[in-house]
Amino acid sequence: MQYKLTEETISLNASANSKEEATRMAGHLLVKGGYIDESYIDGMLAREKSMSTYIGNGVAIPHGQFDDLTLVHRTGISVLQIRDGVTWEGDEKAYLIIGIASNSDDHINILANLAEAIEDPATAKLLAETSEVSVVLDHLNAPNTNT
Amino acid sequence: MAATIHPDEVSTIIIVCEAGVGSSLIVVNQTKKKLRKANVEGYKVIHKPARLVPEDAKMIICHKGLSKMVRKRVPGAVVVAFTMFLNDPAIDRVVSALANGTEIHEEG
Repeated sequence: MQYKLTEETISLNASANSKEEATRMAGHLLVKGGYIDESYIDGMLAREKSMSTYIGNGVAIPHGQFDDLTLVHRTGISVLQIRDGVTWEGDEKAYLIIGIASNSDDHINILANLAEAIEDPATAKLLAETSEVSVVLDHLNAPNTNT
Repeated sequence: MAATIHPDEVSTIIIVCEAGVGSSLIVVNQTKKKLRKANVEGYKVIHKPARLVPEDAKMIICHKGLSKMVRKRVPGAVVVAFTMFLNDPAIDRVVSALANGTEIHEEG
């Protein structure tokens, strides 16, 4: 059963002064949704220090490391939108921060949609700027045939 | 001499990342789409966390930051490392070798 993103873990037009702060915010949305133990957030921060999760076109996908996956209660995704962007890797800013908690493959549909959305700069821009939660839900929850 | 493998010896392409829950899935999606676009069929594309890569793996694609660890774990595999999660030319080279039936070269 593929996981569906819900409004509860989406935060649009947020602001953060640093990548650390944004990672914590994306993590706290996952805590709020009941997807992770709060200590998973430390794993998300550690992962960013060892290897950035910036994937391109203004999108980062912070998540814990292999050993942190025991702190995941169930698969869930959070979406944090920062319209001013936050410096993520080198000169690259992230505008859309997708927190990932997973101990299954139940989120591959959402990640496939995300991969496609960010390959298209217009869609990446739309998701980074929209004020409508429904726009985010529609793009990321759509059935994807490339999974 | 760099290791190579012929497409005939490959049945599964394993995309590896550290935790196996994030970036590898993005790359799986990209790779499947590129294979489809090049009309390449018959290969399974799966993802694994670095520490769970099967030891008999033959063809592995991973981020450059993990290639040393992966090579140590699976010395018999041809490992192609990429640096960009979107549209990395190293993955295009694998796809075109599979499409043309030519040797895939280890890199990165």
